[in-house]
Amino acid sequence: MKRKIASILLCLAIYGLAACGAPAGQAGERAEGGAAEDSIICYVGHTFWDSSLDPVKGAFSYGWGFTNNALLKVQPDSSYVGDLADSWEISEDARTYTFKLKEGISFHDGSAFTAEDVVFTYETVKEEQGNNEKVDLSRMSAIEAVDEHTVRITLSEPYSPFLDATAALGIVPKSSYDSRAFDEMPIGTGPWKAVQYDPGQQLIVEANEGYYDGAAKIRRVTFVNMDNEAAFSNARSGQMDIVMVQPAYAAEEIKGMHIEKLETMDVRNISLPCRPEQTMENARGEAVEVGNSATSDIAVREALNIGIDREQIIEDAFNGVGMPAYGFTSNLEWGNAPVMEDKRAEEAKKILEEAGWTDEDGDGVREKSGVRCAFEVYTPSDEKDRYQLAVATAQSAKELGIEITVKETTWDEITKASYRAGVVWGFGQFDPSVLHQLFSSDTFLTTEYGNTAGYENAQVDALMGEALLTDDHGEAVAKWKEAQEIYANDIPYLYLVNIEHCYLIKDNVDISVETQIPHPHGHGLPIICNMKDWTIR
Amino acid sequence: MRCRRHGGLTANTRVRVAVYIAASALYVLGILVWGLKMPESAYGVDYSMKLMAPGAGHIFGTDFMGRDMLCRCVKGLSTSISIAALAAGVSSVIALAAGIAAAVSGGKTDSFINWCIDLCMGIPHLILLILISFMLGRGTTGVTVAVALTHWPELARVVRAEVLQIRSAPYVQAAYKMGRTKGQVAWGHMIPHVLPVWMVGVVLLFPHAIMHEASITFLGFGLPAEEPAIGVILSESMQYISTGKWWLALFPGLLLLAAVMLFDVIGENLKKLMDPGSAQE
Amino acid sequence: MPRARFLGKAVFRMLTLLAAVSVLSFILLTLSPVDPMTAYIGSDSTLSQEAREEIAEHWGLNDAPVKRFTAWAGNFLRGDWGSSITYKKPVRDVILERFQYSIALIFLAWALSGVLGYALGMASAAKRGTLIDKAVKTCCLAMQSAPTFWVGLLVLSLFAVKLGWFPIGLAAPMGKTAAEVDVADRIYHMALPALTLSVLGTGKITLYTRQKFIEIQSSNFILYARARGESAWEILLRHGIRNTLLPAVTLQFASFSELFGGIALAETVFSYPGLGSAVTAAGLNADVPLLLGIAVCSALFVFAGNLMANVLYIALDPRIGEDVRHEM
Repeated sequence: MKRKIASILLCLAIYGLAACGAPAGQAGERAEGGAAEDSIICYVGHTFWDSSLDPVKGAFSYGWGFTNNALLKVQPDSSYVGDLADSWEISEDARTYTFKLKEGISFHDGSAFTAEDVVFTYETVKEEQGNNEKVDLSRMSAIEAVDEHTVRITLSEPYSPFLDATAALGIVPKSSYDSRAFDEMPIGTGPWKAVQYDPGQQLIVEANEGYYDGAAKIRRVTFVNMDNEAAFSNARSGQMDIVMVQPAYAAEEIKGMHIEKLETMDVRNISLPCRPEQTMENARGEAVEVGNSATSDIAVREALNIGIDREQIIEDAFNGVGMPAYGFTSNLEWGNAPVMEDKRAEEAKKILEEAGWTDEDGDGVREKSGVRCAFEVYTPSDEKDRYQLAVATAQSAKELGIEITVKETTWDEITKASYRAGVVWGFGQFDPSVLHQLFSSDTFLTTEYGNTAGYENAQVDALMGEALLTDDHGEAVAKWKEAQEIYANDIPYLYLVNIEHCYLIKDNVDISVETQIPHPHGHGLPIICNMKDWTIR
Repeated sequence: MRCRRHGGLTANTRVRVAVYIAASALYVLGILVWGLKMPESAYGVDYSMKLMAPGAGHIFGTDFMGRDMLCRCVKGLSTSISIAALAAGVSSVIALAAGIAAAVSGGKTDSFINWCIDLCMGIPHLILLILISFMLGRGTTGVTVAVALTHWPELARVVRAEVLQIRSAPYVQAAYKMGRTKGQVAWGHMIPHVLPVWMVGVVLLFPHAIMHEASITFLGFGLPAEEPAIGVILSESMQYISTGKWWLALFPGLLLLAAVMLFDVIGENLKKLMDPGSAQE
Repeated sequence: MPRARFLGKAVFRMLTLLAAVSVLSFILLTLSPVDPMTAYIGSDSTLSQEAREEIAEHWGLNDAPVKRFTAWAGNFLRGDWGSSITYKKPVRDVILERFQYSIALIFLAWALSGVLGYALGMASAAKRGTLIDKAVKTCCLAMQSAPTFWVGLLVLSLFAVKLGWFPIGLAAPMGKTAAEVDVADRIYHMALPALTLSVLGTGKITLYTRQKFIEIQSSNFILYARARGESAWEILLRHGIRNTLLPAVTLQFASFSELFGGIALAETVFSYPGLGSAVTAAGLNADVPLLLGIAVCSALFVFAGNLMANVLYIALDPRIGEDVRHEM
């Protein structure tokens, strides 16, 4: 009996504790909540907690410094300048890259930055390539320190986008590198030092007072991890300074904060299978259903391209956030989109009629010799915005008499269906090799996600091949641009929108919009690209 | 305890219980049929009607694509009920077979079946559902098979216990002495005996199955976004709760809750009709 | 002696079941057509074929299933649970880290539902037939049927979004370093998820306790006690608690399985960094090592709950030393 009573009392005590704990905690937090004078609290998505912070394992491969710096960095006009490198040279055979390093730079732990650190970082990544899905060094055959401030890298074959890799790989110190510790607290030369990391919860960084390019003005930044919705609610209660928000929130008003829509290089397009329906074999010898009867007709692709109303689609799917896109964006050095207008429904209908697509049974969808002008578009279940985009596009295509059925599923299912149906893709990166992946006949059926449209054009293939092999950056850019001009006539991909990244920003925080670089793919993190320049008014 | 109170229910109670059952069944069947018959256009996209609060025309409001929430919910719920029906069908047959086999055979078979039951119940149900759905590549197939294959253990236990009660009953023993095989006895005596309890068990499977389908769909392992489903609707609603679009979460949940509770009502009342002893309240 | 033998048997059974759970989970996961590679590198990747192969090699995606299982099982027993593809960290670290948060949440919810449910159940039964009883009963019927994630959404939108009484997301205040966070902070951040998680259990325990106590009230020895002139309060203390607490506690321990499922939902709704949100992330990212680790741990957790239920059963009631249910 006594035992039982004792156990009841114990349970009651726990309950009581829980009940009393709440108000006490509340009072405590309110007192300390909100930003201090020289520190801010930000929510920029989940990237910090979803993967390691160690550059060796692919962290911060965006071309700008955070805790670590790379050899090169990206400028607001998307060209490269030296970061840890002072200058660089590419040999005539396009296989040797020599970097002259800046002197007098030190890591957070005080050790001096030298060529050895660069060699160590590159060699570690090369050895552990399996651990880094972001920086591809498989074409690097050797790296050596010529002297304390010179590094020479040799490639196994000429490959011009290698330069992009040198802007993506942050350098770690050879002397204190620790694979495990760097997952959470990387040491580098960057403007920010990690001071606290709570798995899945928060990362606190402080300004590196000794940063070679001048210390950041804000002293302390806390990044918190939560859902988009939770972050929005916390912003509303005044607890946060910077919050990434989905377009759905773009019209919401919060006192003391404003919405900033930042430019990106991120485009969304739908692949349109160019080949007639057939069964082919992929690189592994498996049979794959390829092609689509509707989209293999250039008239259908053309009609979609000029007939849909991109602005309306963006309004419907993204609350009007984003800009119509017809190709890769012009803020990329190599981007080259055709200048054109859409919303020409009548013209589009005429093209379809002339090609023999007419609606004979009156169901609103055209047919041509028994084939319905219809196809499926797949969207990944982990990206709801692509589903919304596809549905809005389907609504717009309906008016032309083209039926798009939207399906949401896993990437595995998408991969299987991608050769015979449309897929909503998202691309936004500095590296122009994405063009090769999307439009080269080599990648069709050999590379996952590569040229699923089955596009084949000898001229485009040749131009892109030349662009990859050249040692001259300017020439590479010119070739990439020319290739885009040619494929634009064939419309293997229906470009829809150049998305904009939305953030709620406290009115007294200045994120220096003019020094923001165009954001690459991945809403959230890129806003911190110029965090060093931010100020609190 | 089952036999403590003899005498059964009064005629009045009996009628009341029957009315409960009929009303609940009518509601559930109504939703099911309405949903199955509903054309896709009823919950079609209409961007001009985005995020309307509940009112005339759209009594449950509309969502961010201007889809009518009432129709989406009903359609979704009817999908859930269909999946649950399949699950109840598959799981109840497994449960009946396993339960009777365990009780009739005894010995090693019994231990083995018990061990299997413990195994299935040892992994938290939701985790098991995630594993099976993952095995089938997620999506509609994943969730349907996962829900269908995992709801038998508890019912199997009930069936086994029920059979054990009559295993040593004189008429069963007599059947054996007359040379009947185990299978014949199971068919002739055991199944008729456990049928009432089993049927109640089948009805009580529905709420679990519906809830589990909605839960793993909510977590992203189940039905895709283009299918109207309560799990999908509620997971979409999360994005809009903080902007005050309360109707996107409240009504779908209420509808789901009502369906789940009514299945419980049907089950519990059937129990009372068939086994007055348990009718304490 | 029979108790020791019973415990030994129970532990042995638990071990065989755990082994089976790991084999079963492994089979389920390796049969999956979900390709970890597609989830890992993302669709916007421009990796060369060589780099892709090295990644597959690194994560052991190319080995045969049996080889992978024996390697995994051997390592698992030695304490190496593999590396999580999602978090790029050892699975054991991920699980241990997150388990701390989850166990606190589970314990709070468990205690809350136990105490609240038991008290409500007894009160309701004592006032049987009154308006209060009816209200409690209806409420609890609804509570036990309400989907956890939906309750979470409602609680979140009312207490956190609308009223702003409680924080949203995280397990500690923003911007505080680990050293500055105290118990009150932790509980404050756990309150809403714990409340959500306890709803189901409270409903169950209340209805169960109520039913039990009603049964006991109509039993002969209570009638006798009444006849002897014992007050309602005395009856409750002497007989009611004695005969209802044990089954309630046992039921409560047996609910570990549901609680574990519940945290997956509650943590997802409240973005609370425990095991539940990790299992969802692992499943969606095709992170097989982490899924396996969590599946085995969750089974261990459930078995531990059942074992405790049985131990309590014997410890509290010597009469049943012999014929304990062998259900584990």
